[in-house]
Amino acid sequence: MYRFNFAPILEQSDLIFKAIGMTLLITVVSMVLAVVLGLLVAVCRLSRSRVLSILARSYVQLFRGIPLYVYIIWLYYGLALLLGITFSPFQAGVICLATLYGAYLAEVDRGALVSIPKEQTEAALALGLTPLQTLRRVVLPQAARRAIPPTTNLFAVMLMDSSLVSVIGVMDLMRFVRVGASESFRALEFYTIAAVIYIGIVLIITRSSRFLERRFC
Amino acid sequence: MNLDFGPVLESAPFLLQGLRMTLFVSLVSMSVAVLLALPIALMRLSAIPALELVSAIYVDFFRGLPQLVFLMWMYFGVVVAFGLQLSSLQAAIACLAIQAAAHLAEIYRSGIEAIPREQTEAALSLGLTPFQAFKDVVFPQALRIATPAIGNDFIGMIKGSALVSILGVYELMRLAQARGNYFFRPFEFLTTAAVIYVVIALILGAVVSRLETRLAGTSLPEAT
Repeated sequence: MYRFNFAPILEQSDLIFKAIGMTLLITVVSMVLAVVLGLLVAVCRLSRSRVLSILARSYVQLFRGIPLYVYIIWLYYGLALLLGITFSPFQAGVICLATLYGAYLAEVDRGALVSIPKEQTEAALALGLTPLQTLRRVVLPQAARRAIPPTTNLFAVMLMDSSLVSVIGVMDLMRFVRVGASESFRALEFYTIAAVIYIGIVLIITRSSRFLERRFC
Repeated sequence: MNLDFGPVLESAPFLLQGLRMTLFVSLVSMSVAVLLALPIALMRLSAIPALELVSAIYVDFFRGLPQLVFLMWMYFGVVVAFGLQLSSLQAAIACLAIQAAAHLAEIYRSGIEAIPREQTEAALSLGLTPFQAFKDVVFPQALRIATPAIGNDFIGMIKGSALVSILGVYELMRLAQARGNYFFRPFEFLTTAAVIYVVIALILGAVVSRLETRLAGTSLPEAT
């Protein structure tokens, strides 16, 4: 029977917290950018300009079809080499996560915007609000409320997916356990700890979002 | 900047072989997952608290576990620590199937819950056994509701299968990377791989939305 030995991990407990911090940092930074990008793409998609609408649609179709792992490797090893740009692993990771999730969030936002009845916009315009004011004061606040549950859900999924940036060398939780596992020959313990931490964070996110939904949505 | 897709064309047989492996891994994993998810969904819907709890834990656990962590945990952790005789391909299929089953169980559950209780009651009062009522009345309708979501999950499975290249399975991504490094043309090979994945996702996505409208068209008779 296999004997568990968690000592090699406990010795590095300060490093593990740093690694968790990196996972959270890259997820939060990417998510903030993705939310902005997603809203922009959704507005383009719904705009009356055909060109913008088609561009936004293609963007969504493209990025929803590409596997994150393929995208990260393509950007970091393929595109960077071709164009002679060097991204830091962190930059490459953020670009990939933000642009990919921007596409998913654009669909979420589009659904939320479409769900607000057209009459509300018409009424706001008839009352003398400018189109921008109508969007900002009438449509967006209501649409935001509908977009919050799927957005927090995507946040949890992004946190899991952020483990992929370890393959290009971001020192996140996944990278930490991969290094630790190969140095200590205690792969089972290191990956078990990683699994527990990821699941724990995801549960915290989903539970607190459910709580927020009940209060505010 | 100079692009040369010649080596990609030259490597077409390799890439096709990789694509075949990608589809094989995805199909086998999906078939296992579709079966495995059913008992998990039924346990969740059973009135027995212990079974419900086991099912809920299974679903929460595997939906919160990053795929990469699971793959590495399985192949470098469990397999090595317990001396299992598992090839990288088998480990990959096991991981994909176990994880997809957690998602599918939730899809089944919402499909089954969407069927009005009255139908079960009517079936039982007509003399069907509970098993017959489920098998012949509830499940076929639930499956119809769940089909588009299952299709979307399959698309996700194909995309997710790119990760099993990390274990050394020679699927599309792994071969694209290997050939790209061999020719010093990673951009061309990785772009080709990306395009193939996107095209598969677009085709299957179109099939799923087609299916969705068709199934919606032949919807169940509305209760009056």
